[in-house]
Amino acid sequence: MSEGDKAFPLDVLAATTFHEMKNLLGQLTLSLDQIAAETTAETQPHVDSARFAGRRLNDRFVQLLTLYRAQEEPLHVNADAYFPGDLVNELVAEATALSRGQMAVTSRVEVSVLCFFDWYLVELAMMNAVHNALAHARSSICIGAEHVDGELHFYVQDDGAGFPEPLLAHRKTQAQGLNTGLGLRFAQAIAQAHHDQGKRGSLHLANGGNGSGATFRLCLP
Amino acid sequence: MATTGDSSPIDFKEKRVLIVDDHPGMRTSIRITLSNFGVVFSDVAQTANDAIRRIGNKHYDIIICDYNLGDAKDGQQLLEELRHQKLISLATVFMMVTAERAYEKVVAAAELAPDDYLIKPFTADILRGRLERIIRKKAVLSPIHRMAEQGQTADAILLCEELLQAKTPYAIDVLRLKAEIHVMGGDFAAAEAIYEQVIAMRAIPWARLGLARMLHFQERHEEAEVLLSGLVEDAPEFLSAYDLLARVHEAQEQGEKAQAVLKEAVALSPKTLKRQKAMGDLAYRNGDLTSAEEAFRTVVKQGRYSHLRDPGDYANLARVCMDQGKLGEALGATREASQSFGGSGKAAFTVAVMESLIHNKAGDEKASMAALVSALKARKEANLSLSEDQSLDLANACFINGEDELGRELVSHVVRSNHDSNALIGKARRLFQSLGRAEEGERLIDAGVKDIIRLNNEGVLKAREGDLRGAIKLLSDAASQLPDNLQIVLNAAHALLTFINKNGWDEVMAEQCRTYLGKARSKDAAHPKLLQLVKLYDDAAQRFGVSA
Repeated sequence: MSEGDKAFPLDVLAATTFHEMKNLLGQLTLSLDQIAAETTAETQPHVDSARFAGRRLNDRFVQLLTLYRAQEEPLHVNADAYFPGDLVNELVAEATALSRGQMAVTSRVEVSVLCFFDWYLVELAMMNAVHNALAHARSSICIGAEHVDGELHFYVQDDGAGFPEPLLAHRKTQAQGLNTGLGLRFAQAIAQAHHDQGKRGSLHLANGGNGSGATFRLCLP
Repeated sequence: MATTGDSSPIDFKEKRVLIVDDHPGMRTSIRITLSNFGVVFSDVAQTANDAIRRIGNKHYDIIICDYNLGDAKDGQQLLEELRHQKLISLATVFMMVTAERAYEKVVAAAELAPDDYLIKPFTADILRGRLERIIRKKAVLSPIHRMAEQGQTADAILLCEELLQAKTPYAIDVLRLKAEIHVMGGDFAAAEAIYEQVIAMRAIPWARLGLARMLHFQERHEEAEVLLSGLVEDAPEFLSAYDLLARVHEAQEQGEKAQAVLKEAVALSPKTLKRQKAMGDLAYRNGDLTSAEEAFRTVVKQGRYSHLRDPGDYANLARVCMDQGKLGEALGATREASQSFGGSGKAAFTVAVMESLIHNKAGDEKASMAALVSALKARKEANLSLSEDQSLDLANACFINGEDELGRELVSHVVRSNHDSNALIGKARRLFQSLGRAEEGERLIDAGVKDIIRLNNEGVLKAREGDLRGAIKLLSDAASQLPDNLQIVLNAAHALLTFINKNGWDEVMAEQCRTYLGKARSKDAAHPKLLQLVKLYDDAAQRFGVSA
């Protein structure tokens, strides 16, 4: 990692600083949750916006770190058996807690069997997608899981303006999605790191047309 | 909508929680968050040792522990110590929290996993949801754990089958448990089938490891080797696979391959003392003294902070230094042991034996003799039962000081108690070689090994010819003379069980059989033949309507 014997190892400093930052972010997140539970109606919107900003900040931070590490060694998938419904429930709880009745949060789970995936990686990718959806939705988001052609799909739909057309077009021409923003690159890396019997996962973005919402879909083998 | 079944709320009012975190702000935040979902009773600890002290004094239902604790011991080491020393039961919830995704690797590599882990930062809802999920799961699985712990394997298997029928959300956990219980009950084929079943769903590492272990137990070493080589390649951080692969190589008498595999594992996780020790031992047997010294030195260094430290670690280091002619360093190691453990009992004995050897190498015969005398005195005073290594070191000290008779007696006992262990027979052989008395050693070892083999064969032959009483008499006499010889003890138990199966239940014989199985269990609880005999015993007990 470090180049030679520098008197001042920057990578060590960076590592300890990241550690400290994550602890502080963790503390901030829990404190804001605490304030949100006690605050008055008047200050509620400010607190909500602070909480939301905290979550987004955290998303970016984790994505950056994970992708940074992935440059040195491939993203490691630690798959085990889970119910997709459990993950969806956790995402719905997060979305409900953040939207505080401002947004309708619904879920659809059409898989009732155990599936194999890396809970933490998929949760990170989906959490970010939920936060994005909450930021862009008009009035509702839907979080779901289903089986499609032997693949497990997790998805988030919102009723906002949809992904910008250039983004969708760009992704079609560049399979690796080099320029599609940190969050999407991260989700794509996570999908692709999942593999089973030669098949790999993928990321699909789509719009409902006529500005009727966006669908983020993580497909896992 | 698919749910995980029961989602009734968990009452946190009754739960006692310990939060272990070196970050004061985080400690407070978690504490406040917990109080928001009803936790009334919570304590905090700043370091692992602080946590151990608190856990020793009070019972906790839930432990929330940061992986990075800032001092010598991290959260994973704390977890391992708590579980190994049984300071917490399987019913206690242990949740790791960590700021590092790197912990994923640690947990994948570890022998012991926490019930769950959370990556910081996390929200209050997620923490609560996770804790509730673990508590629900434990409520379902803990009766199985309890039965298994009490040796009621048949009941535990039945309960597993009920739970699998009932379609709980824990099917995979139940399958995994069921396989482990089959292993405890000696039914390796049944466990093998379960691992195959899981692998057919997805080739997850623990199932592949389990399958390889079953192959190894059934002495299908080549199949095990192929499977494990693939596993190590696919999941390089899964360290238990390296340990098993090394054992498979050893079983195939490929010591150097075994050492190479352990070396990789040690490089990935230098903190695990048990593996470092195994590495040192293996390298020493392979004659690679440089690697052995490196490993033993690490064991001594790391062990300073561990509950697993042992005077034998210093003896290992002293021995390997001495063999390379580094007498000053060898003496340094024994001095450190004296300082670290004080001058009594096992430590005093170990130090004195090593010093006797070192002084002799340095040409100081008088000091060597004096050290041997104090070693023998310490042994007598503390009424020590010696490990094989200790016996051989003591024998060595006896030989160089002219106490040949005691020396031969010690070696002979080690050989006769371990006649089927290539490792120990090799050590005994090298002892005589180093004394320049290889031929004499060969005669002594050969006589011991042959004696036991003859005894064993005679017993087995008698049993085959139908003289079961004769076989039992022969083998149990041998077992009382050589209580540490697993093969003899287990064959004696086997003969008793064969008699019972043929002639009906005999409580005196059954009692004797239980004693033998207990003895074997205390030496090597995972010995495949032991596990098979436990199954044979349970089957017999069931057949004759005796409660096991």
